[in-house]
Amino acid sequence: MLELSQGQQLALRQLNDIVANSNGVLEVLEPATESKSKGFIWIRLSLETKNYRTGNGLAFRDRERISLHLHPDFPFKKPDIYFTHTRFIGTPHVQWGNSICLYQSSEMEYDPSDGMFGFFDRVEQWVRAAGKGELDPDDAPLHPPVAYTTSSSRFVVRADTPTGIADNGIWIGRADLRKIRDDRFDLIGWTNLDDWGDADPGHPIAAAILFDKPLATEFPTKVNDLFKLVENEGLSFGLLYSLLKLFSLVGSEEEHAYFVLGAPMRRKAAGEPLRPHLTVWEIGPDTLKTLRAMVRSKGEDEAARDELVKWMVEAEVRWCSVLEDRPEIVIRRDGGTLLASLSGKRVVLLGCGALGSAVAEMVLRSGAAKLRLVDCGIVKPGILARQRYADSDIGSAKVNALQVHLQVIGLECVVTADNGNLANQALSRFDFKEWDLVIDATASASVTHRIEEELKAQNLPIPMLSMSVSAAAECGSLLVKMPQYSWGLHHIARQAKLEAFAKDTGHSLVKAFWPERETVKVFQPEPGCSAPTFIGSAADIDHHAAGLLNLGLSRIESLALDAASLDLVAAPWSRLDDSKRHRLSYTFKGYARHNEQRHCYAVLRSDVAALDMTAELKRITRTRSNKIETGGLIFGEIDDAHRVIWVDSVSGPPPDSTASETQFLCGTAGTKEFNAFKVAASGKSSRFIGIWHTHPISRGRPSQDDLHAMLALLHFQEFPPRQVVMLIVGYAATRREENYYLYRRNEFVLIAQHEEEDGGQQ
Amino acid sequence: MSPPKIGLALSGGGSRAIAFHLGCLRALHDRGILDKVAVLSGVSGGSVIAALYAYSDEPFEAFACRVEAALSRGIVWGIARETFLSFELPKIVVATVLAGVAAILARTLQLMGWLLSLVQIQPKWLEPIAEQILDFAPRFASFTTAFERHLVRRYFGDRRMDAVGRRELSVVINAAELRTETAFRYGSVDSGCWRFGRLIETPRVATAVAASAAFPAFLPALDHYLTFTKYGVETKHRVIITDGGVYDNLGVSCMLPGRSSEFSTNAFPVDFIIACDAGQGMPSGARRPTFWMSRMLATVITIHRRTQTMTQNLLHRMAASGEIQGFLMPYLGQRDSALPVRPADLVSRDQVVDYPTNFNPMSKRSIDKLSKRGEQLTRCLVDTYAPEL
Repeated sequence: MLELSQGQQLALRQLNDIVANSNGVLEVLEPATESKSKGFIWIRLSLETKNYRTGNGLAFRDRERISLHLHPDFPFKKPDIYFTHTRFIGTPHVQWGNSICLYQSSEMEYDPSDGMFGFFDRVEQWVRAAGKGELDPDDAPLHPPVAYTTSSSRFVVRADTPTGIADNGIWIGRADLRKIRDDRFDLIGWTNLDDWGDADPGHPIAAAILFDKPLATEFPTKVNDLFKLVENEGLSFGLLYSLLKLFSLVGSEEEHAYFVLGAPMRRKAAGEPLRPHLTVWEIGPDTLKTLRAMVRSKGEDEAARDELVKWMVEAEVRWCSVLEDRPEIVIRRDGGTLLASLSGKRVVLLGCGALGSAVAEMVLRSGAAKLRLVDCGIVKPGILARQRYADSDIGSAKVNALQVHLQVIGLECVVTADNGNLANQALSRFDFKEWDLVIDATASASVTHRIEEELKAQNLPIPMLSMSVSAAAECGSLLVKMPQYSWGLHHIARQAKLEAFAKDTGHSLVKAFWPERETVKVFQPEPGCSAPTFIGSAADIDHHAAGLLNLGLSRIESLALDAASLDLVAAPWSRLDDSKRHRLSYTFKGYARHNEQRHCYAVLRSDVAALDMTAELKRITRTRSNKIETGGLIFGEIDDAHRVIWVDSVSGPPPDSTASETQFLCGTAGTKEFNAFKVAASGKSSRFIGIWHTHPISRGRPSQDDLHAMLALLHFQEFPPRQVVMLIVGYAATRREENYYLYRRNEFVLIAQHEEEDGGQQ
Repeated sequence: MSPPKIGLALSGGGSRAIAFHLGCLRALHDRGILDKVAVLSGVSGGSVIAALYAYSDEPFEAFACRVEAALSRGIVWGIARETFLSFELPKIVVATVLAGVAAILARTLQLMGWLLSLVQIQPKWLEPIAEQILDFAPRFASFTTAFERHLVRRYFGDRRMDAVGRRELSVVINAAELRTETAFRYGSVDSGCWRFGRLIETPRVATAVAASAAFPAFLPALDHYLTFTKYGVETKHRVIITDGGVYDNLGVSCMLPGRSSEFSTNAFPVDFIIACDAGQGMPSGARRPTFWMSRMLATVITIHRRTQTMTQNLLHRMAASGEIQGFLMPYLGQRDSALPVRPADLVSRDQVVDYPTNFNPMSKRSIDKLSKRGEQLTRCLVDTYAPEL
């Protein structure tokens, strides 16, 4: 008595249900029988197929006999289904001549809860499509001919097969191999028989036969059947035998020989030519020895001949497993992603610390062509908590250790290491023409300053990303400089801060990156004056490194060429108060450049300041006349380190100002409060730095009155500034030109002394 | 980084609003923002100045002069002139008498029906007859139609809503329809309300402004039959259209994101909203609504204030959630102490806040003060919160 598992009983109950409701379309022919496989059972069925015949597809008879092979663990293991004949051999989705291939991925498509009902729905769909000849839509991946592996050798196929095979008959040649391990070869090239030459290729090789037509069946398990198959495909036994003999002489005594066999089976997309599916046949040293004996004896060695015949008739084929990596058929798993845009690109990475070491690996895996690592630090024990180094790296330079790690990953990216100090020389160590992207992961103020100085001499014509994390690694910050934005990271950070304070002051992301000075606690992990750093785990860092890199790449895709941006991003788990907005984004254009005329400072004037001036000019024209001088206060910053004057905004005239066609005297009413507001609103980055006024119809040169005004400002008030900027807008009524003059307090003292010595009047 | 689409809404508030908005527009003009406005929406007094600006192509200064002249002349005299020095008066008398008699008749019938229902008799024919009587005599002429005639003669002629004089500007004049209790929007693209559909005929600018500014306490509603189309079907409806401030006194509802033009007319979502509000702000607490009249008035004002506050709140939330990039609200009744930075020569709230919301002639002094406050507040807000606009 056949013993059925619970699942098989369920299957039979469901099957009987289907049969009972099928109006005779499905019949059970005989009771379930035991299978050779333990616990399995066979069920023989008859399916009415005459209505599925169309003349375009499979030539079904009126009824087809099919067999179900039921796993004891049904419904969690899907049934297998077979025709009881091999009339449909060579048809796609019929394997081994009779096995019906229903599912491309049973993991996704087969649902145990549907049991037999779902399974027979699928059978019905298959038979209908097969009857119409629609089983292979153009762009669907095809089932390659199966070869069950019996050898432990693995072949990784890296090189695309030679082109134009289908048109030129069978291709015979050699596959060029690289031996990685005893049981792994990489197939790295193909050489036609005609191009072989006499020289030793210098690396292992295998014979290669690429058929021009698809195989009718799967690859056989017997050597004998393989020879028959090859002959059927149009390659004579004689030629195959010659190849066997030839390749028996190639390797050394103890090694195997390999035959790469290919037949067209797959295409990557609709309309593309079919590409060969590859299998590798391994021939053992003993057989090779016999073949060599035959070659040497010119076929006279009787024992060897018997041995060989016996091998051909009886031996099983040893198939190796083939791991495909051919670009022509393999679709990259990261295709179309943001990171994939780095494929083939050349990337400079500044800083190989927490973010840097993680970013380096991602850049490498993207398929980048070149990666240059720059960092002058060494690996210390504490950093293993979150940086991608090993205990064995401790004490060595980070760049060298990381280079080794990346090389072990082994993708075709040229990784170079440079342990120069970026604070001394940053971007100027590169020829910009040779690189496509700079990623700054140093989070170092001195590097930022160095870059700012270097970019004064030469603009960086490629995009730059700069990433960092907040003190508790809860938030990440990303600056992007596009190629035509003329200033460096220092400048972007300043502009970004003004934007952030104007739009989102008080937001915890803003507070995280621009904290009040009093609340900052420096974290120094090692005793002594070790470099201060942030607190954060490997998980925190990987999250931010990946997120900020992707964000940066998406920004580069979308930003205008002359723009820069800042993104502040909170980690999803961060305990920020503002649960609604986890990302703040700011995009801006650079300030316009002018030159200061007395000390050769660069003046960077915002568009907003220009708008402010335009508005005031319109107002004065409206209320009085365009011949009347006007002006007001300038807010910004004078940076003596970079010799830059930033003009962020200007105000109109305070109400107690007096103005005429020849003179503008800037008042003071409300200016103190206004300045206090500007300082607070900009997080102390923008403050009163000077006075602007117009010369409606003359050049913007300082008059005697103007100098007196400067003198009064620098010397004759309670808290005089050390230096002030005077902006005179010349020809304000017609073609506006901006003239900037920086006056220092001590300069006026000198002038006074000088004049005294001269005995001059003024 | 494309420039944001800017919507400008001018609130209601009679001549006070017109003068205040004139200052706001000045500041926006100086700053070059006015030319960039894509959607201009006006309510009541705001719709008067919005239409004066939008339906002309004159330079800003000429426009400002015209507005100041209109303010010092006072619109009430225009209405009075149209009423008494034309054939409008007999029409108004006839319409008022007819509609009045009809109303008395209909209400009497309705009262009878109610009395009968007390003794369990409910004649079904009574109510339809009452409605027919009411529909028989719409109030086809009133002080509001005189107002409309004044606007035609003095300012807009026969100009239609689609004849905007400024480049690439969409205009919305907001009114309210009292039969369906919905917003009724006259627009440069289309006009109508969601219940009835879109108007077949493009209305006159003067009609739109008169309807939008028909403050219900002083002016009757515009009462007439109009032909609409909805889902391809044409129908005629009687509409009773009054001041847009009844529905949304800020005038921002047409420019909020998230409305679908499939249902609403005039859906113009924008990125940045400038809403000029000529409201008084915080009440002084001096009111003592003891009896019916003052109590009902206080009730209406309270409901009105609540919807205003909710609209402001909505703008804040939309800006916080990123649905709009931001908004500015120059607010006549703004508490001066809450300004980010107070200009030294600011026209303070106390100086202007008590100016009434009527259309009487306005003194030069008042015009200057109200408009200067609008200009100062607008400049201050732009400088502080949206200098890049």
